[in-house]
Amino acid sequence: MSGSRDVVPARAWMSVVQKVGTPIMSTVLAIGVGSLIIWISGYDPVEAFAALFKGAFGGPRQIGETILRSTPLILAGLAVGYGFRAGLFNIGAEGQLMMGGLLAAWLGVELAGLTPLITIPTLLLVGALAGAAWAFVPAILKARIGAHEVITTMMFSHIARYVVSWLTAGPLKAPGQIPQTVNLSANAQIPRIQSLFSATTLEALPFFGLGRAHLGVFIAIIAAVGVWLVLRYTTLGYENRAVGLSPWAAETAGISVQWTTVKALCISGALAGLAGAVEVMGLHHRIFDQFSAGVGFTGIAVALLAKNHPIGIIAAALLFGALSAGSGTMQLEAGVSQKIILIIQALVIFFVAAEGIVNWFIRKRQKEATSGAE
Amino acid sequence: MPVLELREVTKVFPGVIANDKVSLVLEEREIVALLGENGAGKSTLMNIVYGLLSADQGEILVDGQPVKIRSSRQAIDLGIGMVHQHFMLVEPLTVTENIVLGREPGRLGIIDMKAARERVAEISERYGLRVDPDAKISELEVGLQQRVEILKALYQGARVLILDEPTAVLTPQEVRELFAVVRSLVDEGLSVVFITHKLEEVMAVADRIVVMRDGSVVGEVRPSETDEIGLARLMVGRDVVLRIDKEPSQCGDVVLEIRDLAVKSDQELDAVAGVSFTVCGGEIVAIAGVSGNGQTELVEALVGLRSPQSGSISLKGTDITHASARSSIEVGVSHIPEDRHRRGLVLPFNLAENLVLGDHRLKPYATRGVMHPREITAMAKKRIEDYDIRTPSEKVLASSLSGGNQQKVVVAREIGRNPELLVAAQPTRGLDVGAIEFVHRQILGERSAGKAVLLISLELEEVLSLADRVLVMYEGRIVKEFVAEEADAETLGYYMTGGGGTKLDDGADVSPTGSEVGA
Amino acid sequence: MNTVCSVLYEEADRRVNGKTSRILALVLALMLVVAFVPGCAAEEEPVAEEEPVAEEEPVVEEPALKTAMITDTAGLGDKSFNDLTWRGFEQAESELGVEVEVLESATINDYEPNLEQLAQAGYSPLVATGFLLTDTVSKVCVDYPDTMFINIDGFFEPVPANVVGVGFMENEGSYLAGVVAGLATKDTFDDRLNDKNVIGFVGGMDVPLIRKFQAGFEAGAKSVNPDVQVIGLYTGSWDDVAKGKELGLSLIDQGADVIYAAAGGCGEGTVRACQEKGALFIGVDADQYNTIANSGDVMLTSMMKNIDVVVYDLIKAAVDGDFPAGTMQVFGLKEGGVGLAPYHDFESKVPQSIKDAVQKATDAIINGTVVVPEEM
Repeated sequence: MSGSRDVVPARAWMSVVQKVGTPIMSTVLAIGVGSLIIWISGYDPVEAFAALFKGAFGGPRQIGETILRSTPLILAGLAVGYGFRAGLFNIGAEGQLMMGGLLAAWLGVELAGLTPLITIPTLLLVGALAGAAWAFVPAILKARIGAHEVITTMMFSHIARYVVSWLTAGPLKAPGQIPQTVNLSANAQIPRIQSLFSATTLEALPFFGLGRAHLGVFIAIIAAVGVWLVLRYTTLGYENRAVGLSPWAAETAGISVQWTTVKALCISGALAGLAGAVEVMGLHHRIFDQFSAGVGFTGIAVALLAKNHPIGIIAAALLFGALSAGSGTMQLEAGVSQKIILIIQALVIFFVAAEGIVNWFIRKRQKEATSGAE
Repeated sequence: MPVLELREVTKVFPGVIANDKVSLVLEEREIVALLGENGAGKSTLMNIVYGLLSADQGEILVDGQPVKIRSSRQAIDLGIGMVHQHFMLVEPLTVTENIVLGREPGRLGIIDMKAARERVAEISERYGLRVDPDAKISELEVGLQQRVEILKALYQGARVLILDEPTAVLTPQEVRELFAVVRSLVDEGLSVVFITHKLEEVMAVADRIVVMRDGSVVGEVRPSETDEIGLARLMVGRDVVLRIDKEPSQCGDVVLEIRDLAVKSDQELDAVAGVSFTVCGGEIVAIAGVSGNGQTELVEALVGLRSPQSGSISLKGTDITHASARSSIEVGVSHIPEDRHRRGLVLPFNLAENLVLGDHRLKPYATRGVMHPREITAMAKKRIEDYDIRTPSEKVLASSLSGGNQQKVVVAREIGRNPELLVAAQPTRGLDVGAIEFVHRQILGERSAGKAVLLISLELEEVLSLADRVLVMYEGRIVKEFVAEEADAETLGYYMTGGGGTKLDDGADVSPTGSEVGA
Repeated sequence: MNTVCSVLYEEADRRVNGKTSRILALVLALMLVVAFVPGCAAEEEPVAEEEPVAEEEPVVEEPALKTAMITDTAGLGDKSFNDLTWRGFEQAESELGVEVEVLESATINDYEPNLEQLAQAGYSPLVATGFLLTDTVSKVCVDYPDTMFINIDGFFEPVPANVVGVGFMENEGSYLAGVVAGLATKDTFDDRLNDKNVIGFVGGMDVPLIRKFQAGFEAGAKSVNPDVQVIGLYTGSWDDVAKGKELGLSLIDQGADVIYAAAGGCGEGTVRACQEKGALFIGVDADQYNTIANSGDVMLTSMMKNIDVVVYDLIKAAVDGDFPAGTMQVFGLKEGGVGLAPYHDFESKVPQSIKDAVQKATDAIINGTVVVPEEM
């Protein structure tokens, strides 16, 4: 290899651009196509997105709402992303999330009266374990008989849904008309961020009036950093990645593909279960039918957009959280249905998946840029 | 007037100049061999000619007329045909169907299969390319599939035929047949570009040899004006030792002992049917055989990837018959897998990550599950240095290295671990001479260090130059054992193809024809 | 959706890596699009319905009142609850000159911010549809004491000072549906009616509210046909059309020839089951003859909750200044809150005896001689 054929150093940053570029371009393209749809429906896209932005970041309360909605998405995104890193598609994160929420909601009521310092960590742990347990059977089936996790986790997700539906309408139902469980007592709730400040502080520093946003966001961020560290600095993460990228090479190097698969799906399930526990303890304070609101499925989108990078998942979750938080204002001020947001989310994923289209755009831009320079 | 001429063709990929002002002339009825190491730009150049890539600069002339070739369809219309390294045949279809695909005779979308068959038979007869027109592709051997590819190009009216690494997948006998075919094509008026990195092949078949290195043409010679050493020097840019002299074997204690080993294949067939042999320290034992005679399963059983049915394997007296891949590594078995892309490397991992693969749990690279990047980086840097891996840094992805450098990574890891036994399966497959020499030196180095080496190779040349003892494997059994000095390519080939079992007409088969196989 | 899923499963059969993962992702994205587009396609209607809002703008005159609704996650276009509420709003807009607005909730997490946003923007009263929003209303109403809230199907104990909980005596309406079904299954006015004397009930989620429907239905049927067998099944969902059909088919297999469905969107599936296997159907909430396409051949009648009327009346009360804040408002047969829809295509087939029996039962409930049970 003489000089002319060596790898040009510029390539390093080009790969970074490519890594971040595709998701960003996908988002831009999705918003573009979304604008087109809004325009065709007879509304003003500029007005719509201005309202959307206002609704997501217009003030502390709005920012709080964005944070609130991003919180479970970070954890669900990590769950799916960790699985993907081992080559597993945990499409059933929703179900593991529900089981995590269910256990937290049930045990939280049972543990009323203990100090929050014990209750909250216990419930978080139990939620994570419940999620892991719910992923364990699909994991064993995958490792032992090769049953595909897409089908088994999906089926387990259905089971979880009906278990929650039955429990909230039956054995765990709180008194009253509504099929839901009893409210968690304060000792089992994750406090809202603004509750950490006194009324006078909030008056002086209105920025901390973050509305419904709760401390769970820090749990999510810590989890993201934790997953990043595990993937990068532990044999567990290393083996996980090796199996995900090349099971044959991993096997040859003495890594048990089956055992790694089981561990990966259980960790994925634990993260999803944690998402459920945090959502229940920080926001709903109880569970009811379909309390999970599709967070586990949106987590798939978050992971795909972030290309399964834990830190990228925080950013992707913020994007999806903001889209969801701003959609109400968009509908109120621009008259565009909130459900357009769901279309934009789908489009983002579509463009991430259709990476070729996006890369074509990027290349075209680069070409134009270089030809312009000549 | 040349049938094909390239003038100063340049092609730049991001970060790499694949072809740098390459000029090439192909006369009528001429065989030009395009020789160069992997990544020298041979295939890129021919893909440009065939319309699969477009040149950034330069000119292509066909029959003296400048042409722009934007698609393979256009190339075919100009009379240029190409047979790729990986065949592009539709397996469930028949030979005839594959050949006429895209240019079916008939009208209004109805294929006139009778006409198609006749036409195929006619071409087949004319060029001496015999193949059953009604056989399904999936039923044909690799050599015959290649024949179908050539027939397809001829059917489409090729006058210039480009063969991209045509011998890579063939057995020695098939190689000989291919050369005969190529010569008869030229007799019929065709011109051939023959891409390869194997020296003995160009000496045997080419009229003229064009040598490429680093994207440029570095020389042009006729076989009569040079020899393999000279070609290798031109190709690699330095002196290359083709056949390394080795010290006589200093056989030490028995390291590997295999007794009555039986292993089943994925299809539950008896792939290895009762094999026994030993390898001692300081010795290289080679297993020669045609691909698919149980070598893969034998290796997999040896390194813990496949559980044997019966028999035993022991390493320095320790039974490892049912050891896992992990414990097999830990007791000192290193393994250079035959498929480095699939089993040898995690291609999207960087070099440091690849170099620690298999040792990643052990001190000093990890303690209690936490990895130590600094130790790993230091080790990787040392391996890159020691094994001359050409890379800007240890953070480069394995997928971005050339095949030779990728194999060096595997070799560096497996030998760097300092094993008791090295199992090297096809360690030089697809490598160019420079890299082959390097790998051979490393394997011989293990031998001088008193380690045991089991070499599995389809390349007789390699077997003969490295091994102290040669075991011939046929249909799951060791059918013959040679001391290296007593073996030659033709005798080995005879036993490899079952000659020891079913008596063939010796006189016809065992007649060395010289330069094709071995030197 | 099913075909997309099966494609996904086939794809998933291969390993998730390299090219396949991209294909998987693509299929997933398509699935998302397919999953969401119908929801959005349904939006097209309200988009059209919202047009008057835009046209409202040139009116310089200050409207009498700004009022708004938030939907549950089913959103506008559900041909039931949300659409009926919105119809009341439209009527109020054109007849009372009030300014109206609607916010749809994409997920359950939108309920609270949507309500807050409308309260902040000065809309009052705010109408929240469905008992799933009761919690949210109780929470938000505290922060906005000057805003009035109406919660359809909401039950409060006690009722906050700025809230009106709206309840319906669905059991009374269902009683009438039961009378029709109980008599029809013995009758022969349609050849799909058999002699097995079995009728069916398809519920949505198994919650007290829906049990109330079933209780009324059974009581009504037994009042005219003491030997009738009533089989009740629950889908566990409001929108699982396939489940609605599955349960419908199962009921017909067990001999049911008239099926009453109180299961939201699932009812459409039950209609299809009736059409396939030959049984009659009784709709719920709205006059489903009009809201489920091509259902006329099995749609015997519907048990209507006149949500539009109630919503209109409450907005009118707010305009007139006599909004009944802090109370539960319960609407039964007497108040015109529930009732049976016309027989439509069966008008000429249904014998007068059945019509008379319905009238008789209605009178008895209104004057109190019959008290319809709320529980089974």
